[in-house]
Amino acid sequence: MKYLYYPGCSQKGTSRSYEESLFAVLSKLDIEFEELDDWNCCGTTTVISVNKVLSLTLAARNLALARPTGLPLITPCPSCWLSLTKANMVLSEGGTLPEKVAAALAAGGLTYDGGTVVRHLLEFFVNEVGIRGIEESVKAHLTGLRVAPYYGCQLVRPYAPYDDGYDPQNLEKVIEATGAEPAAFEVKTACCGGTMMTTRRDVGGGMSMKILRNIREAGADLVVTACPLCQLNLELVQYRENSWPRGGDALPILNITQLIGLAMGISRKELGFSRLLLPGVERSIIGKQQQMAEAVGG
Amino acid sequence: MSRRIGVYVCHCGSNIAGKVDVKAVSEAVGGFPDVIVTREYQFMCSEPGQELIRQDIRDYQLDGVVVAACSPLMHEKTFRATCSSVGLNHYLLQMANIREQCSWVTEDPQAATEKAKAIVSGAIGKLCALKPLAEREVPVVEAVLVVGGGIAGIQAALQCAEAGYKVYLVERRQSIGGHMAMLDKTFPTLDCSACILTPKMVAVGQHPNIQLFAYSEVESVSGYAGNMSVRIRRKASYVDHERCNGCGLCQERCPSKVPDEFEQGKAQRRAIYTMFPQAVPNKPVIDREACIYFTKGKCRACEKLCKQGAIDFDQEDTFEEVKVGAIILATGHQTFDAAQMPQYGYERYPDVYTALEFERMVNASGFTQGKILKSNGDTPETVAIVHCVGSRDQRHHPYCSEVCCMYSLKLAHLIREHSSARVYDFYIDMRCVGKGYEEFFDRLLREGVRFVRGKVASISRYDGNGNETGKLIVRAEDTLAGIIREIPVDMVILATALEAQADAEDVGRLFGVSRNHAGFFLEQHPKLNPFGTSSACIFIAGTCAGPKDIPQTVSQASAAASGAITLLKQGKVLVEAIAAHNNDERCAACLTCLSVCPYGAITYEEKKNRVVVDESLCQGCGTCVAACPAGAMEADNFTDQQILNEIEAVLSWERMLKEEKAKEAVESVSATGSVGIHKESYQPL
Amino acid sequence: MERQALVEAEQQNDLLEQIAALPEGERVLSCLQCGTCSATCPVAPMLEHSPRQIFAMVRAGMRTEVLRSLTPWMCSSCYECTVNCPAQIKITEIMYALKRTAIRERLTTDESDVHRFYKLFTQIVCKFGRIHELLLLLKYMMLRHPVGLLSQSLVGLRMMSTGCMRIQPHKLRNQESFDRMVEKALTFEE
Repeated sequence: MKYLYYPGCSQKGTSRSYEESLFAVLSKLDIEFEELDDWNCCGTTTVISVNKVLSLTLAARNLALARPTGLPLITPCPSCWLSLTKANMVLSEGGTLPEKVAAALAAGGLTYDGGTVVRHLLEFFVNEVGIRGIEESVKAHLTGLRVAPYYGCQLVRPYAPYDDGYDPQNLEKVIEATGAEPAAFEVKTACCGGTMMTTRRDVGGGMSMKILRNIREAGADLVVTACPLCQLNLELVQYRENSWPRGGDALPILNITQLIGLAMGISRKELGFSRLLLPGVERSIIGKQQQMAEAVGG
Repeated sequence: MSRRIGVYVCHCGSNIAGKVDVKAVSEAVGGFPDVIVTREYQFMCSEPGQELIRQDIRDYQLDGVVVAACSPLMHEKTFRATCSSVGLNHYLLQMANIREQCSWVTEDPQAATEKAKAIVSGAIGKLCALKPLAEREVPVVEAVLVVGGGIAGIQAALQCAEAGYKVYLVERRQSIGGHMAMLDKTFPTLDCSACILTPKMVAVGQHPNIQLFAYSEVESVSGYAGNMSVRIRRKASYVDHERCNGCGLCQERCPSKVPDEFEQGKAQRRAIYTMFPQAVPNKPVIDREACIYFTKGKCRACEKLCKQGAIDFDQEDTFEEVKVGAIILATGHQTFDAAQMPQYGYERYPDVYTALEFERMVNASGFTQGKILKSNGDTPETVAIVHCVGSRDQRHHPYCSEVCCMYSLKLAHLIREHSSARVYDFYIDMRCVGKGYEEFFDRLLREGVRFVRGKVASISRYDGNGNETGKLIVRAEDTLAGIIREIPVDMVILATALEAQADAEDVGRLFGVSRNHAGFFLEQHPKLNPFGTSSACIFIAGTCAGPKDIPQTVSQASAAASGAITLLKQGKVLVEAIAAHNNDERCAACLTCLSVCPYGAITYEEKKNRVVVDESLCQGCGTCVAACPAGAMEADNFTDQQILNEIEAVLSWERMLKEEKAKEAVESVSATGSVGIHKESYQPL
Repeated sequence: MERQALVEAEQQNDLLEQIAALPEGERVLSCLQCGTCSATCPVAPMLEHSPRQIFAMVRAGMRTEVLRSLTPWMCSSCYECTVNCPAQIKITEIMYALKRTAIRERLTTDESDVHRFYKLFTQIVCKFGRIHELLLLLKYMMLRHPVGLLSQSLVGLRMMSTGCMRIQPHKLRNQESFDRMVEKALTFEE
């Protein structure tokens, strides 16, 4: 079955490694993702603070472009998922907003009457590929690795249609499917402050550090996150703390498909590890895998 | 056939007259052919107002009365009595609601006046077709059923018993006492709960007029107001209570232990057990699911030990039928499951308790013998009390549970009494409205409880920086000081909401009592009849009707008892005359009516292949009339013809008004003056 | 800081009703001022006005103070307040509305320079259809933190070296129709 893929801006820029790992994993699973043609930025939490109609319109354009295909739209970014989902909801309600958005779309030669299904990549893996599907594709079990599941905020708030909003489990399921052990920690749905990483480093940094501290206390070897912005932010805040170029103590932060890909035995190059911000991540993961191998073999 | 109708238009002070031109309405209908006299008056329901009607009935030999005033729910009864007091059949009174349905809901005075005229003309139209009806009298059984043996049921039962009536008190647990038996002290007097409750429990157990069915449930209810048949199931206790002398040996030696529900699961009980030391009846029952004999076929230690030979494993549930004239529902409440709010740590952290669990802890006969202890045995240095867990919350219960502020204060006091712990109390508002309640709050202020006005957002082992502290961190905004506070405590008490029992829907259906949106039983009128229901012989008392404290519960229970006693004292009950009737010729016995009747008043007679309505049970709701596809069902004074009459009267009035308006534009003739010219008459069809 | 008593002027105090009239404001009248939003907000301890306080100020009709407040600009859109509010008020969405109003009425202050970032972001998206991180960072840093640009550039350079920072902005294929769409959307001032 074919799916429509909405990357979101970060996949083409700062989270390029995520997209690389995604397609590497999909190719192994024989799943086809077709990038939505001529997609535009969803507007996320930024544009809605400036102009609401514009924000809805930007999201709606993508929904309109996707509709004729009849295919579900899968996105790896929770902020994009929320933005597109909110647009779908608002446009199906009454009031003047849907009319204004329709007028804007029409000016661009588009119409949208609802019907585009938007899904997040994590839920796609759990429900579409399935835990069994992931397990069957695993070649290099990550046994012994303790992985902290970090969800971030917008995947579970304000809507959590596919998981429990307070204590979600989808990442844990994926982690277990790879053979690794989820490292439970208290603040797995706390906000990392990613929206402020450029404007208010002090505030955002504190929020991320709290999460990392909690994860370290839980004894995790690495972190897997469901949001490309969280992934960048948790790396960035460590990068700024440790002085360049020494990376020694950093906690590796991986995207979902980088973790799954690792367990599938896909090469670290294909998974885009070299593009990760934290230097030495490759080294530290190789090191841990060696430790694991020794633990299993010895 | 022409009628002699009197029409009375009420001003209702300015409630009606402030919007509707009552004089114009009165004059407008004065021209109708069947209307002999019209009057308008300030307050028709007052004695002088009623006297006007009585006088006119006598002087003009009226055979029908229309009162245009408030809702029939308010004063239909009043005016019916007015009519019958001077010999006019009270079913020949028709109310026209020109207040709730007109003056109170219409903005424009002119539109309101026109609408009032149309409504009154409709009432006149209907009245022309009404027939006199008569209620039947049936004798009342002089016995009362009280369902539920908490303080509400106990109070109601004692009151009815003292009044000389036989009472059947049915309690589903093996002892009466309810939630009050679980409490330690009661606010604001700090009376020991058991000390004030147990004398009443003993009185119930000993009263010659009260037959106590403990460990029993009501199976079915049938009959009609004043004459009800109730089937009660006595659950098998596997202990012969006649032989048992309450020595307690069986309980000491029973090897099977399970969580004790009375101790909120914080202690264990045996499979054979009494609920608490002062239980009434103080006889044990065997919990089948916990008993080793019932589950594995072994043991029977209790049987061997019992010197009275009271153990009887072959016992079965028994049934008994009783006849009663009135029923009082006092089935109580349950508490909100705090696990539904995971952010408070209930069941995740060991030292987070609900108020009821803590009540058992601080009770001297509870699971810690009254000592305040953490789960690891240490005494807590700091305790937090959290208000509004599940209450005042759109996601759970939007209402306020009324007692939590007060019991939180009480628990704060008890903590200070039993330990040297510091107490923090987190609230949104302090609701202390009863007698002595505000003074109690002041007492706690002076006792040094630290009050923080802010709803607790979370309880966590981790502080705001993500560090684990070994304590429970309570996080709330101190809204008065304007700062976020994180307070490390050793123990948390959650003031959980009171909610309707899980089976309230089933119980409601069993007795024919409606519930409100929150699941509590619905009173007949929230202000004027908070203890009655829509059924004349069923009353409600206590928390099954909504959250309330003990004084309110006892008051409501006494009110319910007095309602029941009043009914019984009359010795007879008038069965509402308005009932449904079946036209045999049209009836195809499709049985649709039977399936929709909420009162079980319709039965199928196989021999005659038709349905029959039991007029005693029928409440005249009209559901079967609407449902009957053949139009075979009719309700007294709401027949198709009568209703059509009313509609026709309203519509032709409106037609007339329109014509008049058109004419008015040309000829400036007032609408009221030309009614008589048209000589519209409303003949019964 | 010197303060005065707030005297209620006749036409002054309908700010709460104004917000209640917005689509996002539907339940704001039911606010109990319980403070749950503030206590669940990750940034609240750093704010002059907690989220609850903003709503208290709204009720008091303190329009300028509310719109000048840094609080909406510090909102990280984590939605904890929204999910935990017992009155189910859409707090995050109202924060967006306050931001939009502050921009429109030019009540943003230098301290809340976040608004410049947001406006830059929006401008770039409107121009190219997608965000161009390099351009955004350069413009923002030059505008506000020319000194900070130096430390940021280390990260920027690293990202460029790993291929994660596009130099050339992407061009939409249907840029013209996109432009018309954006132009039309911007005519609606909300």
